[in-house]
Order: sequence, then structure tokens, then C-alpha cells
Amino acid sequence: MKKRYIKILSFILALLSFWTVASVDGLGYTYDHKGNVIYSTEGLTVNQTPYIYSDLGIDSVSKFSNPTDLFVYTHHETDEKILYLLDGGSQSKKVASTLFILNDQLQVQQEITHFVYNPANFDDETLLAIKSLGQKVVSSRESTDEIKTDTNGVCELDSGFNSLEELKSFDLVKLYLNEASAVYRSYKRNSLPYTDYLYICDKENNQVLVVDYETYDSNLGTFEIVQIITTPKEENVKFRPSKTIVDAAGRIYVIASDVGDGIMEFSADGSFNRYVGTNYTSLSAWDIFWRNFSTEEQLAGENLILQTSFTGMAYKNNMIYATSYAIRNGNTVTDDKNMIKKINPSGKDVLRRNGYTVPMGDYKYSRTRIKEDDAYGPSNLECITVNEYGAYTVVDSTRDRLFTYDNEGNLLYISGGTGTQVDKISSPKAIQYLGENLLVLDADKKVIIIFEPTDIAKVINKAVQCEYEGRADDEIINGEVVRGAAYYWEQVIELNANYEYAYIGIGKKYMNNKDYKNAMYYFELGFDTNYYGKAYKQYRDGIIKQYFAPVMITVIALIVGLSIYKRIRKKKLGIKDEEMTGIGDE
Amino acid sequence: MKKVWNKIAQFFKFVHEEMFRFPKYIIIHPLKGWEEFKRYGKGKMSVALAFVIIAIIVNIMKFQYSGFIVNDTSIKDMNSFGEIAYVVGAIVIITVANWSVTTLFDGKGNMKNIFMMICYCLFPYILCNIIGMILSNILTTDEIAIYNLVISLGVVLMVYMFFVGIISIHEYGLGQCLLTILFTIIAALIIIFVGILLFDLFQKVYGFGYQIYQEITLRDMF
Repeated sequence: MKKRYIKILSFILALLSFWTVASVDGLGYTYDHKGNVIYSTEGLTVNQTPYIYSDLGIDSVSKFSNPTDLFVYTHHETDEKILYLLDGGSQSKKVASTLFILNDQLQVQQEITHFVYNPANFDDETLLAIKSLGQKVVSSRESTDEIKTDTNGVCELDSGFNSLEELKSFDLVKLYLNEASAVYRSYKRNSLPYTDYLYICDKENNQVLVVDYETYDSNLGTFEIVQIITTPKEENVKFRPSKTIVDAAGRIYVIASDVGDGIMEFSADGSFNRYVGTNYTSLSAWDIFWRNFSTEEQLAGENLILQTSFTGMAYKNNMIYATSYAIRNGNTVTDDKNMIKKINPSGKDVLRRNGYTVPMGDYKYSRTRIKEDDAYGPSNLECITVNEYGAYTVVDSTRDRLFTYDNEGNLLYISGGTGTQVDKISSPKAIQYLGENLLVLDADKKVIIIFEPTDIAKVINKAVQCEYEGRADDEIINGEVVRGAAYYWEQVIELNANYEYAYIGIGKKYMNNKDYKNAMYYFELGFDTNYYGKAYKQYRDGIIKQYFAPVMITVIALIVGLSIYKRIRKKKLGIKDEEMTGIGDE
Repeated sequence: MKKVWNKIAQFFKFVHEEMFRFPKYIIIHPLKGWEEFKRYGKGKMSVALAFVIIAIIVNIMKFQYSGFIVNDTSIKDMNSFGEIAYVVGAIVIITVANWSVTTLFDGKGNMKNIFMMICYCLFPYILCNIIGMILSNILTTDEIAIYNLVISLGVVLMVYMFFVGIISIHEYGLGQCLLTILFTIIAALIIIFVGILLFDLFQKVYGFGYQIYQEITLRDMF
């Protein structure tokens, strides 16, 4: 008896020790099919130390003290990756922004401190509105000395010209950026002339610069500006552009700080078109009823657009992916389901939301502050980046996490975390895909963190890519087996059996092979009632077809047999027929 | 041996008569049925309790045996104590609320009658849920409206039986019956509210006592 107790006790103790050892720190989490939080595997981890200014090749720490944006450009001809890193400088200390051009090994190749422009290329209105390092280019200056030009013919002064004529008398004038916040390069190929432009949001100069990449002059060490977009006169906004995207037709989309009406769309010639991307307020029945009693002035003052503050954009395949903050009404959150948008060229949001939960960063969060210094509220999505097969990653600055979704809106994995250690994010300003890795520009620590996919994330990425290309199962092309999504999903299951989305992929393979019973089994494991219904329908049809003939024959035989039996019984009893049909119940 | 066989046959006859034919009779001939229920004592307490237990079992079985198309919860989310509490709690609260309201409105029913009436109302609910359970395993997504129809039919018949039962047992007219149902709901809400208050206060008293205990034991006073 005692021996049995000791055995049981030691077994339980062994189990407990197993349990305590297994729950280590650093476990990732994800949201299951009902939106509950469950433990899971992390998708992206940091394997190498982040790049500080010296690793990048910048010679002084003061030149990298306020990083604002990072952009990865795939060259249109050579397919090599070029990175653009923007350091905002400082407006208060009158330090201009610097643009660093890096290669794909993250080493600085060029350092651009200023741009030049030819005043003859611009009209008078624009020239009066241009600013350099916070000062208007044309304004009165104190000294009446002669302005010198340096050896390259560039004017030594950049702002404070007495008059337009004085400005126009020079061939090339410098322009210094003031807290520039975004850089974007776009090669426009769909109409002549082909253009290769660099777009820079010069936030505190209230302008967007359009720089021609082909005008690089190694003597000057910089490029020439071909177009400057200043405050649109139709809109009564303080134009502080913070992010920019250019589509294939050359239209420029700008997110301006403190503008809640949406993303500003400018045509290629610089004139303001419209606002894009906001949702309209939906009227409830009560609102429609009440509008009958409102006066004209009340109706005019009503806000029909939900004020959305956009934060980041990415451009892929003619679609603009945009992130915004949750829409709040004072302190309460009214709409947090539309924080990620995929805007098509006509301005409509066409993001696929077919996953278990809507793509919005953290699905469950505490609405009020529970402890001091605790992050609360919905995710504040800062940036978004898209890769070749439609999967996109967003970064949340509330809890400093990275959320990766696939093309259909399924949450693939959650990575990152908050903290001051080297592998944690503290103030993300830009994220970009570099191949399979993800670069995060951290403004607090002034580093570029490189996130690499874990083993399971590599397999998940391959499976998602196969699904995007439409290969649910293995195919044989030219005699070779090309693996499909199901092959990779099975590997994902081996690594993490709780990855519910993978079961649906495996189920689709069985459905393609017309093995409906197995398909139903896997769809049930993946908690997908839609596909389960389809598989069950086919399965039931198959069973009915199989058993229809025998079952019908037996049923008809039974009916015929019963009626014959009744007839024989009636005949046999014969006279007692009347008594059989006796008086019924009341 | 024959005695045992007789007893079993008698039992099945009882079940058939009481638990199927009589409730069916009540549904088809409501006023007459409830009158027989009350006046001729055809309502049996054992049957009422059996209905309650079967309703609890059917609720629990719904979690596991319903087809995947209508039920995608996992079995680990089922709380059997919760299911028992929902059914028994609902019946007890409605009974007590109804009884307390009818004493104000000069109803002729007593607590036992009201309790048995409510339990007999569970009959269509149980039957339709069992049929629905079987159907949900056979139907596809396009035909799932039939399942919804069956379940709704069960609930509608249950409410209808309850309605006519109130009229018949307390001998009310139509207007008084509607008023009684409204006040029953209000009374049930008051009971629930008082219950929640009680639980909260009990928790606070317990917490207070536990804190005192902790203070005494953890401080080095003695």
C-alpha cells in the first residue's frame, strides 16, 4: 500500500517538474479560432545584433540621432536591393536631415545632406512657398552682401533671398530638409517618359520634394529637385506631410499629420485631387429619423466622415495598404476593426478579412489602465509592409509587437516584444521586408533591428506562398514534383499541433483529391464551418449515390410486402372485416 | 421472471402514457388538458422532475452531438454545472416569481402546480432539440434553415404551453395573463438582482474576514 502511494506521488512530482520546466519565458502567443489567447510559436526573432550607426558606416553618432524612415527599393533593372535611410536631424538645433543610401548589406554608400534646384523650372507661386531648413526661401535678409556661388555653381545661400528676381538669378540653389519624415522611390514605366524619382516628405518645411534620380552629380554630391508640392490652397490644412507613396501612374499619396480627412491624393503634376481611404459614418435608423428635424446649419456642421488618422502606407500591385489608429470618440473606442485597409484605385477598402479574427493587431486588449505604465487600449499600428505573395506585417507601438497576416487576412504569427534589450522594439518608425527578413527602424535605440523567420515561420511562409499561387496540393510539372501548400502545412503541424489554420490547408488537399471523409475531419480540426459544409455536401451525395439503389429496393419491397400481407389478412379473416373497422376513439 | 417482465412493461406503459400522450394532449387541447392536469390530478411530480433532468441531459448532449455546422465549440468549453444551474435556476426563479406575483393578483394556483406546469412545458423543447440534434448531423449548410425551424418550433411551443398554462391554472383572462407574465419577468429580475447583491456581499464579508486572519497571522504582534 505504502509502495503504491510512493509510486503515485513520485509520478505526480515528475509530471509537475516537467510542467514547470516546459513553461519558459519567451513563448509567443496567438489568437485561436474563437479569438482567445493561446500559447504559440513566435514567427520572427532577432539572431544578430542590431545595426547601430557605426555598423552602418556612419562616421558620427550625431548624424544618426533621429532616424525617421527606412525604405527598401528593388531596382527596376538589376533587381538589387537599395535601402534609403532618412535621419530627421533636429528642427530646434537647426540640423538638416540627411539621406543615407545603403546597399543590401546595410553599408552606407552615399550620404546626401542637401538637394539643389534650378529656380527657372518652377513657377513664382511655388518659389514663394518653398522653404529650406524651416525658413522661406524668399524673404528679406539683413545683409546686403553679394551672394557667392561655389565652384560648382551652386548658390551658397539657401534661404533669405531678398526677392524672386534675386533667387532666379542663380542657376542652382541648395535646399536643406527640415525633419524629413519619409522617403520613397518609384520608377514609372507605364507612360513615356520613363521617370525614376525619389520622393521625400519634408515635414517641417511643409513640402514634398520630387527628386530626379538620374540627375545625380558626383561633384555636387546630390540630386536635382524637379518638383515641389507645397500646401494645397483649396484645403484649409496645415500641410505637414509625414508619409508618402506613389502609384504606378505617378499619383502621389501623402499622409499629412493632424489631417483626419484621409490620405491626400495629388496628381502627377502636383495639384491636389481628393482625399482617399476614410470611411463614412453609417447612419442608424434613429439618426435618419432625427435628421428630418435638423436645421440646415445643424446638418452642415455634422461630420459625415469618420476622422481617421493614418499612420503608414505600402504599395503593391496597384493597391495601397494603409494603417490608421482606431477611431475614438473622446476616450472610448468606436471602431477598431478597420485599422488596416487595402485601398484599390477607386478608393474602396478591399482588404480580405477571411481569417478567424479581423486583422487589427491585438484582438483582445484591456480598455483601461490596470497598472501604472501599462499599455492599454487597441493596437496603435504605425507601419505596414507587404511582400511578394501578399502577406503583410504591421507593427504595433502600444505593446511593440509585429503581426504578420497573409493575403486572406489570417493571422500567421506574432513576434517582437517591448523592452530595452537589443532584440526588443521600443519605438518603431519603419518596417520593411528585405527578402525574407524584416528590418525594423527603432528611433529610441537608434538602431536597425533585423528580424529573421524562425524554423516554423519559414515553413509557414512557404505554405502561404503556395496558397497564394494556387497550389493547394503537390503537382507534377515537367516530371518534377512541385510541392504544394499541404506538404508545408503538414510540416507546420509537426512543429506546432495547435496551429489551427494549417489543418484547413491539409483539408483542402483532401478535398482536391475527392477524399471527402478526410477533408471533413481536417476542416473540423481547423474549425472552418464553411469548407466543412462543402465537403460534407459532397460526402453525403456520394453516400446517397452509393446506397440509393439498395435502400430504395428494400423500402419498396417492404411497402409491397406489407400491402400484400394486409390484403391476405383481410381475405383470411373475411367476415370479421366489419368488426375490424370498429368504432374509433372519441 | 414474469413479474419482472410485467413490471418493465408497466413502467414503459406509464412512461408512454404520462410522458408522451398526456403532454401531447395538453398541446393539442390546451384548456382541457390543463384542467385535467390541475383538477383531476393528472399532473405527476415524478414526471415533472424527470422532464427537468432530461432537459439538463439534452442541453449537455447538444454540446457534443450536434453537427459541426451548427456547433463549432470545443467540448472543453462546456460547463456541466453551468448547464444544470441554467435549467434548474431558471425554473426555480420563474416559479417563485410567478407564485409571488399571483398571490397579488388572486391566482388560484399553488407552488406545486406552477412548478409542475413549467416542467411540463419543457416537453416540446426537449423533443424538438432531440430531433434537431439528429438533423444537424445530416443536413448541409444550405439546408440548415430546417434545423433552425425545428429548434424555434420547440421554443415557440414551450412559450405557448406556458401561456395557456398560466391562464388555466390561475383561471385568468387574457389581459390578466399578460399582466402576470410582465410582472413575473420583473419579479424574476428582482430576485436575480437580490441574488447577485447577496453573493457580492458574502464575498466582501469573506474577504474581510480573511484579511483579518492574514493580519493576525502575518504580523509579529504576539
